[in-house]
Amino acid sequence: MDLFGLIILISFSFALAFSLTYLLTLTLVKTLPKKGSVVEDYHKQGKPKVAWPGGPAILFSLVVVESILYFIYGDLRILSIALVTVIAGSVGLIDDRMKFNRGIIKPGLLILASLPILLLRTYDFHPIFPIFGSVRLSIVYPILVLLAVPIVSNATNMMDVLNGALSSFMVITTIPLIFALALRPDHTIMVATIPLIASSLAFYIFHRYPSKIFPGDSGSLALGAMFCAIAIVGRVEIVAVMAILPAILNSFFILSSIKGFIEHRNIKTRPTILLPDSRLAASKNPSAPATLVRMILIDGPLSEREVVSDIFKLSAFSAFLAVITALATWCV
Amino acid sequence: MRSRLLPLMGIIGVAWLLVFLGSYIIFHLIVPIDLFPGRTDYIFTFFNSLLKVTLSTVLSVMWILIMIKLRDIYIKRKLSD
Repeated sequence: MDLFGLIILISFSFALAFSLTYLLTLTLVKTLPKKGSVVEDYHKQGKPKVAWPGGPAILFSLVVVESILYFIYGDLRILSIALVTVIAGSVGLIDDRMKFNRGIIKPGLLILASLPILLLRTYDFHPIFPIFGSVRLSIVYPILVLLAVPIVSNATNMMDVLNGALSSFMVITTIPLIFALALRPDHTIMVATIPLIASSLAFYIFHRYPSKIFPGDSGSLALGAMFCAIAIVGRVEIVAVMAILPAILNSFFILSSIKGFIEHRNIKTRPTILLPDSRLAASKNPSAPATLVRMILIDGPLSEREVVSDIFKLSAFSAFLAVITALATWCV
Repeated sequence: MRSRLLPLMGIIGVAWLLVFLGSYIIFHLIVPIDLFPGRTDYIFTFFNSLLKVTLSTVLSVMWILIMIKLRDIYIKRKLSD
């Protein structure tokens, strides 16, 4: 495909994913409260009700655009991305409606989301590392694929804690992925990544402080799973790991501090406290989970907006390290 | 930028460096190990592979322990202020 055709496809993918997510989210913001589908915003005084879940808007937009791209390119890797996103988003939808109480059920079900990559054989067991190039992992790699989707989608789910945190995190984290895919000779997966950033950006308009809608697990799991699927089928795994480090460290620190899988709504000791002046403070309780937000707040109270801004800065730093990783992989 | 973010950026930077360094050690130093050059019997291949898996696992566990230590140092130092 020539450069002009590539630019047209990128613009088309971006415009369609952005406008679909924007319009569907706008519709959900208006209709969900009328149906009583709202949740409390715990980090504000008076705990205002916010529309929820906005995930179906994200999920539908991503799947429509990826399906169109699949019919244009006929590439099974794009079909894998779409199927992984659908399965993870569906697990999220079930969780939004039925609430899995045991922490291990959701990661267990998310293993199913890894299967399209394995069944369609859209992975390559030679991941490419910075400086020394590709290595052969013929036995270990399929096992890593099975584990990667639950780990990454749960890690992004755990970033969905404050107004706009998840959607802005996904926007900034996807940039190094697009950069790395642009450095590669085949740009198919780069085009398939554009809907992820466009959809996250459109959702951010409604999700930013003060949120009009929350994505729910259907949104956060779909975004995380799609990110992971792109990393695997696009062969930019190491760059993706570096880009998503704040989310990986956040979930790793939480799981290691509470010593096991548990649903975040079932955690007894809250990591943060809402002060009367609406600022957030870190819990001084030693048994409180070590979340990224608690670690940011441990120096003193901040407003919700300031915490989200700090998460954005940490994500930008991680994205910068991911860009260096991409350059060390394909330009050294 | 508030200085409160610098230690957290440091933790992310250390994690990044450890992934870089760890993957280099595993794939460039551990994988090529051949304790019994020229010997292709099953038992020698098995022990050679076992050594590689053990060394790689030790390295991965060390990565996890370093990250937990960094988290504990960060939180305990701040909570004891």
